[in-house]
Amino acid sequence: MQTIKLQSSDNEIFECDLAVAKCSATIRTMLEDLGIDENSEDEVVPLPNVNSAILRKVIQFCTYHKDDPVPSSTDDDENKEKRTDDITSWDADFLKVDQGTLFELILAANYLDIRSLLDVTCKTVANMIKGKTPDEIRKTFNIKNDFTPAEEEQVRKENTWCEEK
Amino acid sequence: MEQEDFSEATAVVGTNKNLMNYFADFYSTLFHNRREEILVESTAEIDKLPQEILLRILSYLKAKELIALSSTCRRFSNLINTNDFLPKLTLRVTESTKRSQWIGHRKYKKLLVLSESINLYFKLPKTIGTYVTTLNLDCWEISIYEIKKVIKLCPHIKELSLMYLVRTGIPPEITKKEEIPLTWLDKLSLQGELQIVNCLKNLQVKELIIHRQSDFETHLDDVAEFIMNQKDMINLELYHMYFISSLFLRDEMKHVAFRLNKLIIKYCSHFSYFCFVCFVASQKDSIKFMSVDDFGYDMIKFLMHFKEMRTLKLTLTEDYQIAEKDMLVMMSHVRNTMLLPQVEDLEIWNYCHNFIHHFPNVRKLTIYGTDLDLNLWNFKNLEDLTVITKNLENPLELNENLKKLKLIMYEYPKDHSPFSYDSCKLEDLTLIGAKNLDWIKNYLEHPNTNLKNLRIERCLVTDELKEILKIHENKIKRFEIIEQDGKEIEILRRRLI
Repeated sequence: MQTIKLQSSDNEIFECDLAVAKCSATIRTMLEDLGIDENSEDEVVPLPNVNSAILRKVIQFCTYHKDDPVPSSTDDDENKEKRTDDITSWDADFLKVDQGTLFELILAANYLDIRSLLDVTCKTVANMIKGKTPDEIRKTFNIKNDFTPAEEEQVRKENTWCEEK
Repeated sequence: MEQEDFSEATAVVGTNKNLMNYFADFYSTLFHNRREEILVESTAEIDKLPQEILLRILSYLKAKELIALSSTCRRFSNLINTNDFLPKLTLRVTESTKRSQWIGHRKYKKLLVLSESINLYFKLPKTIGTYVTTLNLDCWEISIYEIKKVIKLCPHIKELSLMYLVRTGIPPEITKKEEIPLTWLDKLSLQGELQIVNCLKNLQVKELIIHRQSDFETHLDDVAEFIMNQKDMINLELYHMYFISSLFLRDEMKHVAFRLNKLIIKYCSHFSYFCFVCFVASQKDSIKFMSVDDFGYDMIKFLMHFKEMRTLKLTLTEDYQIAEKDMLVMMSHVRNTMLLPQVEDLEIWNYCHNFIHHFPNVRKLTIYGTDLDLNLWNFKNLEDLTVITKNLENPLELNENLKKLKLIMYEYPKDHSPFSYDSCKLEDLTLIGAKNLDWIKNYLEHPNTNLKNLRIERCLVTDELKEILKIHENKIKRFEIIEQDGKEIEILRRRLI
């Protein structure tokens, strides 16, 4: 099986299957457009935006999902109600990490352009917001309340006028 | 913890650099593995994520959750109050918000006005409806004058949902003088007293939805006239319109200007097949989606001429039953040459398994019945099958193209599986309401079984079964058991008998 070397921001080298690395559209483009020779033994793809801990997780995710069908563009339909309760048990286990790691994974998925990882991590964050009061959300994500008392009152009033539909 | 210890150590050694380096090295070797984790933990926070990612996360949230999030800090407040998410939010004018003074800044696109708070609505700034495209007016005992006043405040309205009700007793007299100044809507949904159409004489709509809730039938002609005048209508949905038989028998109905893509007629008792044909025949070249009462064999024969039909839902509504005897007479005429190859999505009540063979290319099939006997081997395009039945005479014969199977039945056969799985390649399996799942052990152990999703809902799940499922849990990507709820199974059973 053909492999490829990936280098993390902290200079650790990871060797992984080419098929796994190609889950990342960014790496795919690098290989195709920038003329990095897939067959060369010494060629290393530098990934300056991903540290080794995160890259290890990303490779683990892509190895598990490498045979998944590519989601069709129709899934992007704006009108469709987006579900967040359809995270598979493997993915849920995989994402049992601290918040910092979760956000780093989102950033890495975004940078490496791995759609399935980006979707499932964003869904996980959305699930952390669901069902919580503003105070609980602040506590969960360590968000600083930067409203002035007057602004806060205004926000509160405005929100009493909305409803879900 | 280790990090805290480290800082304490530095504090003690003070300025002695050598000693400090020594400690630093010592700690870094000792806690080498932990340091990596600590590093990761401390870097990213939610408000450091770039906007495009936050927008992506927010797109998964519902209005209620967006509102909660917008109250946490300025950044989220600004993000959510932009136009991207406003379509999800509805401005609701109700009694409960009466006391809070209006200080809104959002440019709402959806507006809900309830009758009890109509006066409150008029006290709001006149600009309130400037950006509204969807208006939901719930008018109980409200004058046409007031309705007109509300609509006037929303100059860009595209979708209107109007619930017009009066106290029972006297149907309201609405004269044509009380014109509501609307000429074009993408979507109009009417409920309650339908005389309101008399105020909408100049209105043209693309989609028309009518739910009837009144007992008065005095306005029948007006409604018919309104429907027939719609030149550009493409969707028509009628619910609980008991009188539509006489409406569709009118001569003018055969010469309507519109060409429907979608037609739904549901819960309309006394609506005969004859009336249906009279009306729908003129639409045979355009209808793509149809959901109506099932008239059995004659219906299938008639629908053969609908070349554009892709989705067909033939259901037995509560008000309509075909006698078994008539059904057998109808079935004796069935010829296998009669096909509706164009239909891809079909929902049908199956009197006899031969019925579905008129739809050879169906991709998605929902089928109801009491004791079904289905051989779906020849349906090469079938990918998605839902079977709702009390029992099955024989195992379902499935071919390898079927990906998704949903079985809603409560009397599973004891000695065999409900479907033959020797050559099927199912990815999704949902089982609802089953009392007996003994067969599932053999199915999961079969070498061909390669399920991605398994969902067991409201079934009798014994401890023994749980053990079996546990063994196979890892082979399946998504696995769900929803515990039995006796009540819901009871409902299902009643529907099937």
